[in-house]
Amino acid sequence: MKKKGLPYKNKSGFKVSDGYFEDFEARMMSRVTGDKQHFGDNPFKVPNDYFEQLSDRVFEKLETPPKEGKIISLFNRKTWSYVASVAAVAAILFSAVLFNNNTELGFEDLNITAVENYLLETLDTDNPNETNYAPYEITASANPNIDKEALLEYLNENIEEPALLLNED
Amino acid sequence: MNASEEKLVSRLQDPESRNVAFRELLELYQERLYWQCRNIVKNHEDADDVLQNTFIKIFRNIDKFKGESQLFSWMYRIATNEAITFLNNRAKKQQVSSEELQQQIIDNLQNDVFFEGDEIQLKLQKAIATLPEKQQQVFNMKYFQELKYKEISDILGTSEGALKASYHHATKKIEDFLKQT
Repeated sequence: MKKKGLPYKNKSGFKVSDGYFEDFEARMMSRVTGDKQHFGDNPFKVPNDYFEQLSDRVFEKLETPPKEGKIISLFNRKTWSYVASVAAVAAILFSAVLFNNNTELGFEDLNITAVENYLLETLDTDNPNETNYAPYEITASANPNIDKEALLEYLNENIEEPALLLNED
Repeated sequence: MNASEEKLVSRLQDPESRNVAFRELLELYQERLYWQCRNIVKNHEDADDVLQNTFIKIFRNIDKFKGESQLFSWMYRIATNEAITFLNNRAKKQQVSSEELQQQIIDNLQNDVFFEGDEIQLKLQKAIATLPEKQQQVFNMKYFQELKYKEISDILGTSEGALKASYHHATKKIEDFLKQT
C-alpha cells in the first residue's frame, strides 16, 4: 500500500541480524553503567599445595577399582520356590472359598467312588453275604458286599467327624 | 578444536600415552575446573570430591569424546553436571529441597575456614543463591571465572545473546537484593 503522496512501498527492505533485539537491552546497559559491575573478588580460598597434590590423588583414585554394588538376583530359585508355594496355597484357599458355598461338610461332599475304591483295596471283603447297608445310603457302589462294620470302623478311624457322614444331628 | 588440543586428545585416546597425557590435562585444567565446581558447591571439601570424580569420568570416557565440541567445553559440562548431581543427591539424602540445601550451605560459609569474604561478599553469595540455577551458572562463569560468552555458550549450549541477557538480569537481581538487605 502506498503512503499518501509518496511513490514508495512502505517496506524499507532493511533487515536486522538474528538475535539483535534479544540482547539489545543488555548491551545498552553495559555501555551505560560500565562494562562490569563490581561486587568484590572471589572470597573462596584453597588449601596450600592443593593443586600440586591433586594429580597424585586423582591417579590414586583411578587405580582403586570401583566398588561394585551388591547384586541381588531377581531370579533366585529359592525365592521363586517360596513365592510359588505361597501363591499355590493362596490359590487353593481362594478357590475353596469362592467355589464352595457350603460351610458345612455333608456326606454328599464325600467322594463316594474314591472311598469305595480305597475300601476295595484295603478292606476284607470275604464276607459277601452282608447286604444290609441301612441306615447308610450309598447311591453308587462298586461292590455291594462290603462289610458294614469294617466300613464303619474305617470311617471312624479316618474321618474326623464321623457323625457328619452318618447324617446324624 | 585447535591443533594442540587435537594432539592432546589423540594422546589421551592412545592407551600407551594416556597416563602421561592425562597428567598434562590435569595441569592445564585442574584450577579452572576446580573453580567451576567450587562456585556451585561452595565448600572446598565438596568441590574436591566433585573435581576428582570429574577427572575420573573424563579419564574413563575420553574414548567417547568425538571432537564435536571443544575439549574444555566437554570437560566443563562434565564438571557442571557432577556438581549439580552432587547437590541434588545430598538434598535427597537430607530430605530437603535444593533451595533449602543451598540456604544451609550459605549459612555454613560464615564458619568455613576457606571462605574469607566480608559481609558484602557473604551477602553476594546469598544473592546468587536466590537466582534460578542457570542464571547462577552464567553469573559464576562470567563474573568469577571471567569466561567469554562464546565459551559459556559452548558449555551450556545457550546462545550468546541469551547469555548476555541472562547475565544482565542476574546482576540486576543481585543489585536489588543487596540494596534491600
